Order: sequence, then C-alpha cells, then structure tokens
Amino acid sequence: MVTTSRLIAYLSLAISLAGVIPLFVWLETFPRLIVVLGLAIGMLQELRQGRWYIKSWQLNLALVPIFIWYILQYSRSNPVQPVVSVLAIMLAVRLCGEKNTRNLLQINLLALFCLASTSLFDLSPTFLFWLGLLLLLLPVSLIVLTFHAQNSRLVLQNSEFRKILMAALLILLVTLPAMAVLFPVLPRTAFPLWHFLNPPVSATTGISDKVEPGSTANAAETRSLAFRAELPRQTQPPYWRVTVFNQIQGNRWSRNPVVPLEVSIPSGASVSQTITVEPSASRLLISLDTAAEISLPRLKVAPDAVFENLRSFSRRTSYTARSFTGGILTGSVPIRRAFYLTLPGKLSPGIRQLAARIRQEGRSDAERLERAEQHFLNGGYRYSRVGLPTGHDALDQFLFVSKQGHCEFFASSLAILLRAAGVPARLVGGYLGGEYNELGGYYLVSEDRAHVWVEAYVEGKGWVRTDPSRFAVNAATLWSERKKPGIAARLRLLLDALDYRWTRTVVSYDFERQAEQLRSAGAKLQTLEHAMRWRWLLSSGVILLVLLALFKSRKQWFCSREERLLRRFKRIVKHRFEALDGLDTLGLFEIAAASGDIRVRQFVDRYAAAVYQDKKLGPDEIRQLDRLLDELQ
Amino acid sequence: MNTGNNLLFLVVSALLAFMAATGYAGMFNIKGVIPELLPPDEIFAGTPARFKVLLRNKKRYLPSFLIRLSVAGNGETLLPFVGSAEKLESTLTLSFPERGRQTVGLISVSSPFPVNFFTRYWNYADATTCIVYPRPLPSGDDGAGDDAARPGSRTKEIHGQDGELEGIREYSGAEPLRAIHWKLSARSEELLVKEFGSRSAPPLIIRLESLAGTDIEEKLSHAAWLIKQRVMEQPVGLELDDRIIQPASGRRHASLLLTELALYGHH
Repeated sequence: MVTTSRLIAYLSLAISLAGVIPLFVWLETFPRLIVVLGLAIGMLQELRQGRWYIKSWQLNLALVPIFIWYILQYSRSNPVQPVVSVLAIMLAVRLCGEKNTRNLLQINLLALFCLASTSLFDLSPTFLFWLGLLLLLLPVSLIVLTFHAQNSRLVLQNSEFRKILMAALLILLVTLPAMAVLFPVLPRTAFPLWHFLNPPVSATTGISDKVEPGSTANAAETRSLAFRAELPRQTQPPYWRVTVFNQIQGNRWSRNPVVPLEVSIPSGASVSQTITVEPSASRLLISLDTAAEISLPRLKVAPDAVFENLRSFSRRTSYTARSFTGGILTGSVPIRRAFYLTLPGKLSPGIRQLAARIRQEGRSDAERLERAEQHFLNGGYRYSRVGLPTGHDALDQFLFVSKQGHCEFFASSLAILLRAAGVPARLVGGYLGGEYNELGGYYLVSEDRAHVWVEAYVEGKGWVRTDPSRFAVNAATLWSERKKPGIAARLRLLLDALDYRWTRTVVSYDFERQAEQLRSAGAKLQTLEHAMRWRWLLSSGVILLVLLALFKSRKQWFCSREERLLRRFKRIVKHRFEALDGLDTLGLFEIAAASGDIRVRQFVDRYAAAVYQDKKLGPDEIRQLDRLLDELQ
Repeated sequence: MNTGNNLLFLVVSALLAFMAATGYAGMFNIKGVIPELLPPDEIFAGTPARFKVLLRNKKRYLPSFLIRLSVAGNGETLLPFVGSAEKLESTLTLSFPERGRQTVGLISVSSPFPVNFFTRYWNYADATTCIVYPRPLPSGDDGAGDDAARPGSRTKEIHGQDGELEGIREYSGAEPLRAIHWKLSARSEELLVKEFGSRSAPPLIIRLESLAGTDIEEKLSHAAWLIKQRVMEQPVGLELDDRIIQPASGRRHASLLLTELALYGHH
C-alpha cells in the first residue's frame, strides 16, 4: 500500500537519476555539485516525508543569477556547456522544491532533455540503455501522476499498482515498435542542422604521412581501433589501401601531391564494403585494395587511386566503397616512368650491386620484379619490431647485415631495389588484415595493423602489388589466422558487434541512407522477375483474403456460446421460415409467435429464461438447445 | 552526413511513439465501459438524489482506469479502477429542477488516463426515465381539507393495540395472547384481557385546491410535503380536480400519490 504522492516522488527521483547520470561525466564542476546537492536534498525530503520545502519562488529567484551567468558564457565556440549546465541545474533545483503535479512533470521533462543533450557529447550505445530506462519509468510516473492529479490523497493497493505497472508496460510495448518505425522515416536534412554543436575531434589517429625506416630502434604498437570494414570474410588477410608514397629523399618516403597523370583501372573481382572510420584528423579514405569508387559526397581522387575526403572525420563515419582485387591496369596514357624511378641521392654500393644484378638477370619488368622478390624470399629475412637498424645506412644494414626489420624496411628496400633496377615502384601505406567479427560480419582493424607494401609497375600488366614482408621467414606465424578466440575475446567481439550495429543503424543514419532505402525499395519492385511478381502478388492476395476472412469471422471465434447459439438459431429460422419478413428487427418472442412452431417456441423460452436474466447457460441447457436446433434443421 | 543528431531523432521518435501509444491506450481505456443508472425510490425536484450506477467493463482482459461518469452539468463520480469484465457499483448525485417524467439524457464516460494531457470521452444515451416528484414545501395549513377529526384526537370507537390502556374485559378467544392480563387473571377465575385504544389517526384527504399557495406548483409542493409527513402515520387520500384517490398508508401508497402529483397536468 502506498500513496500516489510518495510513489511519484520516488519515481521522479529515479527518472532524474536515469536522465542525469549519463550527462554527469560531461558536466563542469559547478553544475555537478548542484546536481549532487539537488539529488541529496530531494532524497532527504522523501525520507522526511516531504516536509521542509523550500518555497518555489525562493528557488526560482536563486536560478536567475545562474541563468544570467550562463547566458553570458554562451558563445559560438562554447555553445553546449552553458545549455547542458542550465538543464542540469534546473533539474536539481526542481528536485529540491515542492513536488506538485506541475513540478513533477517538469522534472520528467528536464530529465529527458538531460539525456537528449548527452548525445551532443557521446554517441555510444549506452544511450539506448538510458533511453530504455526512461521510457520504462516515464509512463509509470505519468500514469501515477494522472491518478494523483485526480485525487491527491489516493492510496494504491499493491494489486492496483500492479495493474498500473502492467498498463505502463503495455504502453511501452506499443511505443517501442512505433519508435522503430518512426525513427527511419522522420525527415532528415541533407546537411546537419546542429553541426555547430559538434565538439572538436577528440581522438586523432591515422596513418603517418611519411615512411622513414631507421628513425627509431623500436616501433610502438597501439591497439586502438582504426576502422571497421563490413564485407564477407576474405580467404587471405585483406590489404586496406590508404595512401601512396611516391618520392624518396634520403631514407624518407613521402607523398608528392603532384601525382603524374595516369588512368587507373582497377581489375579483378569486385567487392563492395562499408567502412566505418573512427574520428580522425586524417582525410585519407580507407578501402580494400584497390577502390574504384567511394560513396561520399565531396571527394578528391588522385590518379594513383588515393581517395581524399574534403573534410576530416570529426565523428565516426560510414561510407561504402567498391574495390577490385586484381591490381591496377593503366589506360592508354603511359605512366611517367622517370617519376617512379627517381632514387635518393646517395645509394650504398651494396644496394647498387644488388640492383645491377637484378637488372642484368631480368629482361623485363616482370622478370626483374620476380628476381627482386626471390632475393627477399631466399635471403632469410626476419620480420621484427625490435632491434631495428638505425641511422642513414639503416637500409643497407637491414639488407645485408641484420636482416631483420618491420614492413617499412622490407617495402622501402624493395622499392629502392626495383627503382635502381629500372622497374617503376612506389610505396603504398595502409593496413593489413584485421580481426574478423563473425557476428557482425566485419573486419575490426586496429592501428597496429598499419602496414606498408610496394606497387611495382609491370609493362603490360599495370601496377602490381607485392609485399616483401610476406617473404620473411617468420611471416607465416605473423599473419596466419589466429586460433579460436577465448571467451573474453569473444565477449569483446560481441560487444563490438553491438557497438558497430548501433553506429551503422542509428548514429550514421542520414538523409542519403533514407533516400537510398526508398530507391532500393523501388528498384527491388522493378527488378522482380515477372513470374516472381505474379507469385508474389498471388501469395499476398491469398494472405490478404485469409486475413479478411479471419477478421470477418472474428465474432464467430471470439463470441460467447450464447451468441453462437443465437446466431445459429437465427440462421436456421431464416432458412426454414423464408416467409418471415424482417427477421433481424423482430424480437425473439415475436419470432416464436410468428413462426408458430413449437420447437422455436421451446428454444426461445429456454434461451430467454437464462440469458435475459443475465445468467450463463449451463452445459446441459446448451446441449438441449443444440438438440432443438438440430431437430429444426 | 548527419552528425549525431540521430540520437535526438531517437528521442523525438520515442516521444511521438509514446504520444501515439498513450492516445491509443486512452481510447482503449474507455472502450467497452457501459454505465447503467438505477434511480432511487424517491426523487424530489430541486433536491439532490443519489442514483446508483452500475459500471460494466466489457473488456475481457484489460482493466480500465480513472473512469469519470458525469451527466451534463449535473453530477459526476470517479471510479479509479474497473477490473476486466467487472461490474462496479457507485453513486451519482443528480438533481432535477422540475417535476414530472424526466430522462437523465447523456451520460458522459471520460478518462484522463493514461497521461493527464487529454481527456478522452464518449457519450452514452441513457433512456432511463424517472418520475420526479414536486419539491416538498412545508405547509402551515397542516390539516387542509380533512373531513375527519383533527390528527391526534382519539376516536373511542376504534380499538387497537397501540393506544393507551382503556379497560379490562373477559377473554373472548379472539384477542391475541399478549393482551391477556396475567396478574389479574391469576386472581380471578377467568382470563382477563387488556383493552387498548387505537392511536391510529383518522384518514387525511388532501384537497389540492384548498391548499395554500399562489400557483399550482406551490400547491403541489405543499401537497407533496404533507404526503411525505403523514403517510406513514395515517391514511392519506388525495383529491385532484374531480378524482379522489382513496386514503391509505404506507410507502407504496405514498409513491402512488406523489406520482399523481408529479404528473399532474402533464397528461
């Protein structure tokens, strides 16, 4: 047994918590303090049975200077904090005050606003949890509040409260699917209206804009997430192409933005994928090697198939790409060989000799490439991230002395060898492999998967990808598929799959996807095979008819035995006494009198005796009445 | 690209969906809730009368909440819970300004459930008619038109059981046993019985024309008051224009007389 006033006070506290907890971490110190204070006072009041109210006007007066302060704080560069601070403080103040119907409604609304404003800071799926909690609590609170408004001294029995809970739950059950339908159809704009509220990029990752083997002795590894790529599992660890380093100075490879004109035509099997990148300062786009097209509105595509977005990714962003896995064909325009044959000023004698040998042994680009690969394959090189050669002759050291290094050493030295041997070559930066999430159907690629490989130009074939790191003696252990993940890893993958779904279906849903869904629905209808369409039409027609029949006969199925008996009686009488006019308008006794049949009379007498006195027919009576009807029939 | 405000879209769609759900819930709440009015035995014009209301929830599985029954500008009653397939009883206080045959008219079934933003209602046409008696007005002329003795004056000829002891006589065999005076009988040879006078007053015939009052309504009101006051104590009759209703007493007779007054001039 509980009074409605206590109940709504508790509920409003719970709702405030659900609204303010997710926002709390983003608040500044002052509003945080006020929120804690407000919650504490609110709880204390409930413990003291709602006494020692601070007067509403006193609270409102106290709010005025705070309002003014935050209005002064508001600026284009700081638009969010003042707003959320005011929201949180207002909520806290309402919690301290008197709990009348209006204030309680305000508490509910402010809590919802607080939660909504969390989305200005954080887009994680925990939002859904808090929203779900609020959607569960709000209906209960609003219903109890309605009871309270009707009768403020109402005391609810446990059974009655259970009924209210049930009603709230039913409302929630209707709300959720309706919400799922409304969310995608609510009109979106092509450009974000709230863009100015976006906070600056918090995390900046991305691959480096240069490759310089020999600069450090140990390479750092970070496991932070780079991107996710949704596509079917590939048989080989996929290469994710990002950028091309086309010039070398000393040991440093970098990208010359003036890329010589060429016509790149990716060849091979086409693979579509959806890439979701983490916030990053980099504008380079990631795709499976080699992308032919990427669906983003504002792009710059370089001749060497490097895609660049015109804006950096301030938020987690998704785009789709279509790639071809068979290398890059070049069109009719010949490539500028000289550009891709440029060597660093000082080249060690060892490298020169090796390159000269390769050049001699191979007659064509293809043969020379093969010789160079052979060198790495048979040279006993080891892949390693520690104990790396350093200094200006690091490559020389790697090639002829230590024979261990990471991908930058392998790729860089192969590219230089190729160039020195007369084969145009360039370095490609990107990622290799990734953890495939079976549940979500995507590759999870972390920063430590960053990789560098080589593209060599083979006359007649175009640009061919070659990855000398794969020729290391320990390559098999490095890139082979990992063993079955443990429970912790699987749980992590599961959580990541949920997070990914959340991003794909909710966070990055936009006007384009909305339009695309409409288009694809239309296209699907059009492309349905003719026969298929007929079958489809036929089956949906049948289903419709069945549903209609069910709807028509719903009374038959769901009516009481008495009603069914009466129905049957009327049907029989109508059939038997066709002369009777206006059967539907006649009363039972009138029908009996008009028919003049003793059995009709008997039926009506027995039926009316029970039903007209609001009694239910017993099984015996029903059997008798049924028998009478059988006889009549 | 749409940056992040999708979560706000989520909140907005939740609110819209919630509105739709509550709208539907509100409609469903009052659906299948049928009121039935049972008028009280006596209704006097201008005097609040307590009607019994039977509220039936025809929904088989779902209860209804906060059902408010009201009759336009008259009375209303609130039932917080009506269980599924339940029949609840409540009262509704209504008053009718005028005498005669009256119908309650429209009963509105409404509810602010589930959230107090809108009130959903539907009107139920109630065909129950009730006879509203004239408003009783105290009358100073309290024996108006009686052609027998004044009330309170005893009539010796009539013996009864409820008057004062008037004498002792022999038991004839017809008197009830409790009338036997056992003390005296013990002393004498025969059974003796106590003889009581009757307190029953003589019949009162109310003659409408001779009642005080400026118009017929006032006269009817005085007559109603007299009937209410007297009919349990003495036989009361009524003379209306050229008709006379024979005096009798009791509740049934009272309602007969009051009905005559209520419908006077309405035929």
